[in-house]
Amino acid sequence: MAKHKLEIKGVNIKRYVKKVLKKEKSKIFEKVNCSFGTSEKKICNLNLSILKNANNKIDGIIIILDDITEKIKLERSLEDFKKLAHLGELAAQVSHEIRNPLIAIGGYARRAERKLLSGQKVKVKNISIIVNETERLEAILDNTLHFSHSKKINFKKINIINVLKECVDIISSYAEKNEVKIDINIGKSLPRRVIINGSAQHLKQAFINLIKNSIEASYRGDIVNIFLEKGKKGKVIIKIENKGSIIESKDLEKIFLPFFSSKKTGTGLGLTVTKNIILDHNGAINVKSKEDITVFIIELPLEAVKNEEDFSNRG
Amino acid sequence: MKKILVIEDEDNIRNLYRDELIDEGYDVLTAKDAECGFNQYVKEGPDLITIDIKMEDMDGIELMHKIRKIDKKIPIILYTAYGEYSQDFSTWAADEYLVKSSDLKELKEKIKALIS
Repeated sequence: MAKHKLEIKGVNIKRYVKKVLKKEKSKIFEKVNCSFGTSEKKICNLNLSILKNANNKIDGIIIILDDITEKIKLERSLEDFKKLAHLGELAAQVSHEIRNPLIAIGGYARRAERKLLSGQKVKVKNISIIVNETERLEAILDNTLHFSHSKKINFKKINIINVLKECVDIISSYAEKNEVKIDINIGKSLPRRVIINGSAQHLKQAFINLIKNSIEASYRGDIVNIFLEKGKKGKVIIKIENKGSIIESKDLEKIFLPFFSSKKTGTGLGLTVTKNIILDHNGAINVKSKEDITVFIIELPLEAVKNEEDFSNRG
Repeated sequence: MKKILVIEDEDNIRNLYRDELIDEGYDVLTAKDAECGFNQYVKEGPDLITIDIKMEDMDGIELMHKIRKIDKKIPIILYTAYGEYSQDFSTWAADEYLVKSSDLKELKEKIKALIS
């Protein structure tokens, strides 16, 4: 191939050409930042097509720069718009959800005030309602805050086995109180360290929400089983399974929606938060509930699975 | 003593309404869902019914129309945490429509006006 001076201001074109020539294969480099020597930044798709002669030797390269700056800007505006619409929807739902506890708090507080002013006694159980409903409001707000901040995650390499073990430690006293046992079952094809790219803090919250739900749905003396298995194509599967009351099929598709709760004391945000955390980790979550078994199935992408030798050292 | 049936699925609000209306001198019956409320209505024959619109088993508007088919005259107060229902003409068959509040003054006044 003849030598030519190849220069596009503000684009390190040589780097891309080298890559294409090395592999002798045409390629599109997406969303490359370009300045073209001006202060205005551009985003381009760089299409490098190899030209070969009759002897299958490289004769040249066609470079096409496709300016996609406006398209990207529009996509980002649309994303921002969607986020705002979502936030508006959430604000409307939150204002509806807090009205019922507020009415009970205000109503019983007014009643207590009236009774005290007229020299009458106030029932402790009425004051307890104010306390309990305040706690319910706080839980709604905590979950809502988490819900709106769920995107701010610091990703690190973490061992998912340790995360699950820590979750069980945290929730063990709650399980004991409910007379439910928790077992972790680690698949034999998995090594001692199962590494994913994620936030231990966020994943703990997601798993604890699920384990807590499983404990509450279990009968006394039952076991909540946590299974860790190797999934397809570099993925790990976590199953959280309990016996006991099942989720009705009509509710299965709704349980991850905000403010859907089958529990009288639930905020209806726990599973929504859980699903968001899993999605933020590029994972997936599903639920199956039939006969007397309910199982939440979480799939997360693996960062790296150490080899079988490592597994043999698990002990 | 006038008999009021309160149909409301939120335990604490149902009990608050019951306690407050007892203090006002009414005989108060309560129901935690629409089905239970309808049965109480048939069995007890109250003088007035208050119905929450948003309930799990049946919406309060549907329950009101079910009762209206049997009894066109019984005073019914519909109330809800959702103000937008006031624009829904299907709620207009109620004698009164209220947005839930922790101040029960308005509810008490409406009840008094309807059954005194």
